[in-house]
Amino acid sequence: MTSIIVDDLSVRLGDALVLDGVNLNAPDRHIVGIVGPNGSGKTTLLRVMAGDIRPDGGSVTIGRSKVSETTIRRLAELRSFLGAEQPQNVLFPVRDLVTIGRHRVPAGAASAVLDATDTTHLEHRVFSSLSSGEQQRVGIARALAQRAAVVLLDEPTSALDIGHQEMVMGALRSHADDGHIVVAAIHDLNLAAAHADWLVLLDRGRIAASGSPDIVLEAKLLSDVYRQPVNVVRHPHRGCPLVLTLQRA
Amino acid sequence: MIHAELQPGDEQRRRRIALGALLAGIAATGMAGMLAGAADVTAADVWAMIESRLGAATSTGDLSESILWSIRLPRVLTGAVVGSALGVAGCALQGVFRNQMAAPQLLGISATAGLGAVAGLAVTSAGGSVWPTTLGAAIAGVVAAGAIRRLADRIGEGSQLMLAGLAIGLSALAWLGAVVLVWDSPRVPTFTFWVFGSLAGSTWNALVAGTTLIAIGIGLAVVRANQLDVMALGLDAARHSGIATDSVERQVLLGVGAATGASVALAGVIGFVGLVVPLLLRSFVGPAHRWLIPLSALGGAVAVVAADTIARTAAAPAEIPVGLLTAAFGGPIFVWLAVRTGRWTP
Repeated sequence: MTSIIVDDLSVRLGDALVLDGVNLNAPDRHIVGIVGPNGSGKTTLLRVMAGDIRPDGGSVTIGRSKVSETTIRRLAELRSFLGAEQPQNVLFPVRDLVTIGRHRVPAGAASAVLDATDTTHLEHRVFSSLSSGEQQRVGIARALAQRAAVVLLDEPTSALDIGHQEMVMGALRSHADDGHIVVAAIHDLNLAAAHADWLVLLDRGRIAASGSPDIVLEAKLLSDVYRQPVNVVRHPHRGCPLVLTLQRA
Repeated sequence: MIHAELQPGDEQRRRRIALGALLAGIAATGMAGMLAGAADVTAADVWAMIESRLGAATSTGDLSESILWSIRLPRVLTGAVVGSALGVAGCALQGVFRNQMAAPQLLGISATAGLGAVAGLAVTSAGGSVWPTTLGAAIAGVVAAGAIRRLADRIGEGSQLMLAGLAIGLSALAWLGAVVLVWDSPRVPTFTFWVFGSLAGSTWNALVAGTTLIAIGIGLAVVRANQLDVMALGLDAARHSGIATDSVERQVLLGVGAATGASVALAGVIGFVGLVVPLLLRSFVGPAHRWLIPLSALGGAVAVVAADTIARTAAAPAEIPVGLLTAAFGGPIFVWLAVRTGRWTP
């Protein structure tokens, strides 16, 4: 059983303390949503978890391996990562992109992730000729194809229509159910409420709340953190919290 | 042209066509290079020379055999080796910097290697070993490639890097010009050699030294081909896939510097081959480096041997500098490719 443990993490960029005392413990088969306003530290937290940024304090541990002390090769087995920005000027066809990496992904596994992200019909298209939403789905397929213990995704649904948002979140659920951990920064609170098992609400580098969506998505707390009045009701079909923005006074 | 959609098997078919065409091109340009020239030589003479050198027949000892063995064959082979080095160097630089405008001449690696070659020449006595010149050029090439990498860390891998490389190259050429003027010795190649290259002085000794370093340089790039593919997604994405991008870049740039340097020691600065050959091939066979690197070697060889054969016969008995021809044709092809393909730099 794998877990990812973030222990008292702090990151300083220049004079600014971007993350301050962040803790998280996610077991396998879980989808963890990281939510919070712009500039709250979501991307930085993901990049520290991915091993891209060395923390100034605290640590990230995946399984038994401390991320900051793990080799690049070993890290690729522990986590995959999809950044918020898609690469430019990539002339490889989609299927090649999904299969290349440290090891070649077997054809069957590549077909499965292409199916799960509705990109099978794009497999012979050149990556840079795709729309931004299509590129994002290919990126997610690539992140899932690596079969790493933890999948880290920065805004994986930002360019997707509602149908593909639901499809991708369903694919992430299946991936988690297969024994993996999915950690995703998500702007859409209702998407996070519907699909995440655990939410971390960041506010200016600190954890404002952490727990199940029912606990974290509380109207007063969200209104304070986002500086935007909201109401939270129950989703009539899904039963999870539904966040409604209110007109500013 | 970059194809938005490839049919299954399309890339494989294109790779086989390119491989077949380039192998045929090597045979055709190689034979043309052996036959063309002031001395009248036939294909039968070439065959007789090969048989005699392989020990299958006794040497005829006539002039045509001597011309073929001592002048034309080393010249054709040097052209092929230099072309391979430039093709691979350009292809690998475009992969490392994810910028299809990258090339050994444009990034100043070729001209800096020229300074290294002159330094090597300075420590050699007249008629001495060719190794100091070859090694001097290779070391300078490696230093220049490393400096460009450092520069890219500071100014990025886009157009600014290309302009900085161009500035380094022009400055190195100016210093080469100064050395040629001040030294004023028949041992130092002319300024034209450093600007436009020449295969006129090709010898077996220089060819052996140059080929050794070029083979090592190409080998260093070839073994990293698959990792260069992943790096096309960006360095962060490659690292996330378990690729130690720093070590890949170091190894490939070491190979590029050594191969480019050795090619400059052999034939001076021949432009546009390293830029245009990988670009043309990438647009035809796709971006996979395990194919692109070997095909660029073949394409570079065909381009330089063909250009040299035209260079020494078109205005005979005068000889046109080979780099003048590669630039005259390579420049317009580059612009044509740029217009067709659109945006190249990151």
